[in-house]
Amino acid sequence: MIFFKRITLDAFRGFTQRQEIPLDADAIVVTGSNGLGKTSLIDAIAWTLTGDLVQMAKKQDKRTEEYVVSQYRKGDVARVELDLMIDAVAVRVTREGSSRDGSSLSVAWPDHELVGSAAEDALATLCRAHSPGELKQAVDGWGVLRQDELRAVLSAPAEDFQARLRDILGLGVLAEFEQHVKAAHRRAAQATGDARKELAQARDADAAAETTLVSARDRIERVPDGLAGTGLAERLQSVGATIRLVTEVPTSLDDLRGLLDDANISAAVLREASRELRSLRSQLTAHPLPSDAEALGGLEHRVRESEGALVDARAARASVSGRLAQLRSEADAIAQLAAAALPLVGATCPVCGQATDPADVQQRLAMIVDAAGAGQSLLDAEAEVTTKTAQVANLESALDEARSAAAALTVQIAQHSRLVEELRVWRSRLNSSLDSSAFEFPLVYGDDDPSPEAFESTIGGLDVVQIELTRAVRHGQQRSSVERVPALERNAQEAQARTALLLGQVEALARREAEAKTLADAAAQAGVDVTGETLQAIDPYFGEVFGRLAAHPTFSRLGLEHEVYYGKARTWARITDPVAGLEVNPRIVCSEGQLNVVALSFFVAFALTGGSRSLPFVVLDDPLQSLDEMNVLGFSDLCRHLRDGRQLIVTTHDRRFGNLLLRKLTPRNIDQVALRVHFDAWDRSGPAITVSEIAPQVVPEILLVDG
Amino acid sequence: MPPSDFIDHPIAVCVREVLEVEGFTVRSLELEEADTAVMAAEDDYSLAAIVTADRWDEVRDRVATLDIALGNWVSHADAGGKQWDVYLVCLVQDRLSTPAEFAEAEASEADTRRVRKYVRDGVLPDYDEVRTALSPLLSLELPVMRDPIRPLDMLEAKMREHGVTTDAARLAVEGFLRDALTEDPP
Repeated sequence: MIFFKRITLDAFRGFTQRQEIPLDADAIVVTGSNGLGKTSLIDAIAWTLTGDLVQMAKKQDKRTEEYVVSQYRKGDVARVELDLMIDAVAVRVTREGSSRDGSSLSVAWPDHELVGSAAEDALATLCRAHSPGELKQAVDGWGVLRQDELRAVLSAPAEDFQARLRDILGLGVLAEFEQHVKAAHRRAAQATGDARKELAQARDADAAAETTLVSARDRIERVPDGLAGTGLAERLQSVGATIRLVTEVPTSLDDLRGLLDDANISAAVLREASRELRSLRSQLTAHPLPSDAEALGGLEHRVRESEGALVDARAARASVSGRLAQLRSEADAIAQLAAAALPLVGATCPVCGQATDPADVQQRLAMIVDAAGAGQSLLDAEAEVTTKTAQVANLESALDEARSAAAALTVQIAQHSRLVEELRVWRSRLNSSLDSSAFEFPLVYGDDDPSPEAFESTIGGLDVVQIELTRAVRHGQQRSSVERVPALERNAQEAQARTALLLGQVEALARREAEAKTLADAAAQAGVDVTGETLQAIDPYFGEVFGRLAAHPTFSRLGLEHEVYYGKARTWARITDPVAGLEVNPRIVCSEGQLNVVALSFFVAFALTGGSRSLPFVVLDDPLQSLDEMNVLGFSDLCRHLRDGRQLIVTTHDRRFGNLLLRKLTPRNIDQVALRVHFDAWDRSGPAITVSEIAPQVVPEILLVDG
Repeated sequence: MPPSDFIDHPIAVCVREVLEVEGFTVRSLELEEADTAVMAAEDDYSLAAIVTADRWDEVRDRVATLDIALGNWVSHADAGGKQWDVYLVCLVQDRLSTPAEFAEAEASEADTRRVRKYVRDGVLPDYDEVRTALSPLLSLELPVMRDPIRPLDMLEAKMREHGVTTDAARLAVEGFLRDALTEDPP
């Protein structure tokens, strides 16, 4: 069977430059040493079919690392064209893109082209899958063998192995269904819980409505008729001396509440104003306007006069002091002259030469010296200076006194003036605060300087108004209760009805939840059953394949052990020695090579037993890792059978295996075609490839003859 | 034709039946060089000579001769590509029991100079046993699994067995298929 006819790669992984490789054969052997691009070819097939390379994504160091586009064509997009042959119709599948930015697909056949999700759906259908997701699962699961991936499945813990087997066999839908019904059960349980809470709230609301209704009915029995009956207007009139209502007496409950609020606010304002007034008045008492305020002018005049007299007295004192100083100077001069004459006194007069009495002369000169320091004029001058100085001191004292008196009076007057200003501001503020009040307060307004008593009286009146209004509001509320009773009755009935409705809903939801739980439990159990039966059904084929490869001398059968433990299924791979009756874990008894045979057996069995999901091809990428010669021979025989019903592509780096395969896959009849795609070398532009058709060797139908 | 225990053994009866069912032409093949006749089977791809015996020691000394004789016969028969698919299959009823027997059998299989050889021990004269032993020759067609696996259909049936009503099971599966994640099952 030929499915892929040709592949063209450009900028894809190892294929830097565009290359076209024919695949027009039912068996293709891809040979060549390691690292020449064989796996890139296989990757191109997988990427075109699935848009992804799962195994490469796992190898990224960084999420941004590009692994689809050739490293030598960074910035370009990779492009792979797969030409398919479907029921004699040529179909071209083209995928373009990169691992970083994703890819786009187109599927074209004569006169038709699909792109995007329509193309993905069409490609899935062409590959016998139900959906692109299922195609990806099939390609990754058994369409393209990657030994390490398969070994990873085999090495997974039992639960993971079970899950991977489920996925590979297309039974993943069972787990999805189980999750679906479990989620439905959770939602049903949540809905029931919510409804129960809502019911509890409704019951509370029902009880509250009933209580309100009973309370309203109770009030009705105690309430006199109408608001008019309260005599509010009359009672408000009775306080008219201190308070005047500037609006009509309200009749609605809301207006009454508004008026009561107004009265409360006004009372608070008046109380505060009264308190401030008392304080201001107290301060005014402490700082009255001085009774001799008018004397301030006299005091100021006296200061000015004193200042003038002081100036004059100081001038007079200065004059006398000057004269005194002059006299003292003159006296000093005489004394110095006499003192100088004293030493000159001898027995004769120096002027006339007459004999003198020196002692007498000296005595007389000494008397002159003394008289110069204590003359009458000098003494008088000193006495006058003393008198003038005393006068100056007296005048200074009087001036200080006058100034102090004037300053003290000025302070008193200023304090008083400040308080008077504060009183004016208080008045202004009070007026402003009461401006919007529905009440007027004649006592408060009637006087520029209202007394605290007026306030007391007004506040007292306002208290009465508040009491009256409070009564009226209460009365109004009671009246309102009367009016509300029908509505409350309706509310109570509705609450009761809602409770009943919710009760019904809760019961229905609880039943639904129970059904959902039954379904979820059954789905889990049924999923286990289906998986078990499916695995049991394909179990013989693992052995069928394993038996051909003869990996182990005594453990010759391969199968699965399936166990359900507490509703959870677990599956293990098991190999059996039928003679000794031993069944063991292959991971424990097998060598690496033997384990590879086990993995290969699972893979081939999956590929062959995919039922309707069987892909029209199988790709084995270097399947011989760690296989010994006998396994290789067995596997070569197996490949001959694998080409029946599907296109087979095998890559190998092993020259001997390659040659063996070429012999095994040589066409034996005219319907078969086999190709060898040999990778000769690789450079930066990509691989050098030689494609050759394997010549058929048509054999006589039967060599054996009778007898 | 020289007499042959290989053809008359009870296992051989089953061998013929299995191979004929699998589409092989089964004939007696006289191998003069081995001085015996063996059962031979042939299809489009391969040709096999089948030797049957109770014990390995009845066969082991003759395997080399049979190998040569069969290889020469194929060479003379102008078998074309089929020459790469010629097998000598030794089926013995008793188990190999000693290390020496295992070693001999393994050495025999490992000698691929002429034709491919398989040694299968513990083969009872039973159709299934013989089919398993001959599996390397047989086609990999697996008709039983060709029917599509429809897990949700199987699941629906299983859920009924676990107490879910037919309608509820059907509606749950339909709801799931509609991917109505917001829609609860009944």
